[in-house]
Amino acid sequence: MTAVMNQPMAGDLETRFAHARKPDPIAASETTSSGISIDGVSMVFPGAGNAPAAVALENVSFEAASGQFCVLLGPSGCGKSTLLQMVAGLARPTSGTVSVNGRVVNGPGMDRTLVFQEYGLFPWLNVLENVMFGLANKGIAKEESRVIAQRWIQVVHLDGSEGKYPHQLSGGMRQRVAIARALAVEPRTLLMDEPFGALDQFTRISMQKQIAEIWTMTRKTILFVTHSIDEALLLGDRIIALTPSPGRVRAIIDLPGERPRTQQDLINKREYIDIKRDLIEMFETPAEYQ
Amino acid sequence: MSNQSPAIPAPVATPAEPAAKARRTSFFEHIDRYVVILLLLVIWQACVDSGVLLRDFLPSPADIAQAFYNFTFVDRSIWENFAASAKRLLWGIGLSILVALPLGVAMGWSRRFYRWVSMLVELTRPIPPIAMIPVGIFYLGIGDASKIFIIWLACFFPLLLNTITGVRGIDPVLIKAARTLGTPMPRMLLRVALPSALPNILTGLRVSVGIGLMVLVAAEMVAATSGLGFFILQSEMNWKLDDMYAGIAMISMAGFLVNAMLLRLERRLTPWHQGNR
Repeated sequence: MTAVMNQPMAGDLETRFAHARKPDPIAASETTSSGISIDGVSMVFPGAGNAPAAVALENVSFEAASGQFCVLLGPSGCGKSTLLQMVAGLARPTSGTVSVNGRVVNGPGMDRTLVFQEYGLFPWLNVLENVMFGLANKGIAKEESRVIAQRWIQVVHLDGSEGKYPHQLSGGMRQRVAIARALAVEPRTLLMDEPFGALDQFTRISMQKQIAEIWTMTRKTILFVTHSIDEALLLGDRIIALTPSPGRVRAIIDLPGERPRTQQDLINKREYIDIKRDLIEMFETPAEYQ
Repeated sequence: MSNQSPAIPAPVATPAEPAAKARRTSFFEHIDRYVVILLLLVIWQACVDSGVLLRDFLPSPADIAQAFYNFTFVDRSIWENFAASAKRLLWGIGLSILVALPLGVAMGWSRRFYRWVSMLVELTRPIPPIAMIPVGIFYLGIGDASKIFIIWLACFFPLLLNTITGVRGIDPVLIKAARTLGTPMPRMLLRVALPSALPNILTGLRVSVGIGLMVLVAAEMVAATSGLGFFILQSEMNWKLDDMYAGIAMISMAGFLVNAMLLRLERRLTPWHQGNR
């Protein structure tokens, strides 16, 4: 399949975010080191009592370059969320190593923040306070962190809702708050665990557009978990296809680098149609055991 | 259809979500709440007035109201006792919060710490606080200190257990989110565990206030020279039954008001919580 370098996007998207670009916090961070590297990772959950141990991941290896939009694609139970938790430092592999930007992960860190499908917003904090939460951990003074948070709230188009509480927001809005909160601490890597899985189709499409814009603007390394083939094709530079029980890498696919991709492209353009057919075929045939 | 005519104020059906809507309604829309009480008072009054019940054994509501009016507004003798009781209750609950909250957060957060102290808690919890009144008197005397001790003890366990439950019930995603945002442990407990447990803590507080009031009155009856419990017992011993009942009515009203205030506080502090929305 085609392997194309991703190149920075110019044009209308850039200008659309011109207002948000100016100050430092939003500017794309320097990409020097090597992104995410998963090396021979296995995860075995010991069975309770006499139950056999469950192998969630078996010898998984892949890399995601710095600044790349990398999608982990697979059906439920293929261990893709577990893998993401490992990169976040919330889980440890039974064997193998996970490293981010050249350093082995052995705990959570603000250089990689996680966006959850269930949002994970603090219900007792309003939008602004939620986005400011991580900044306090960085030791940033309140006034400054308010300014930074405000700016990210603008990026996700939630200005005017700063004082609202999560339970007063729609699902899409909540997820945008979570994205702003994750980005506000300036991570080099953004981890997203089926972030749009709980949203309706229309909200989902609009959120996909927004995350593509944010990625274009910030050039973060993004590791994105999904079980939607279309979502993977729409957003990814690279798709890591995983098959379940045990979770293994079935294919690594590099997509053509043109951006932005639209829903139309997926339907009309030859290369995407081909990849989609291959992926569907692959997920339908059972994995051969070597 | 007659109840829709403008002449008769139509009784408003209880709304499905009372918390939000019922708050600002007028007294008359809530009159159904008071009908039963008023009816009982009228029957009681009639029984005493007609001689079915002997006034020397049961004063009428009017007598009690008169006594209530007397000691609150005329000779104002009750306020001294009221203040003494209120002071003890506030101190007891305050100290209880001070100890139960940190301990409860720690016990709810750490399984290991819970195992360390759980036996101590489980063995002291079944002791009725009233059984500790003599202990309090022996070591702390019959002044405020022994009362505060008993209230502290009585309020402690409901607060502790509710805090533990609240902290255990934190949505795991919130903990994960806080961890990936680099939250250090003290801040995790203070800014994630504690607010997350707040709805439970406030429920615990309401239970505590109720039990605290109970225990306070009991302690004041055993040995005290002031307080509402003391006043009620004194009135009984002086055969001033109207004062006795008026004192009881005062506790009823104070308890009711405190509970209403705490419910309001709950809505203010935890607007996100189910039922407060």
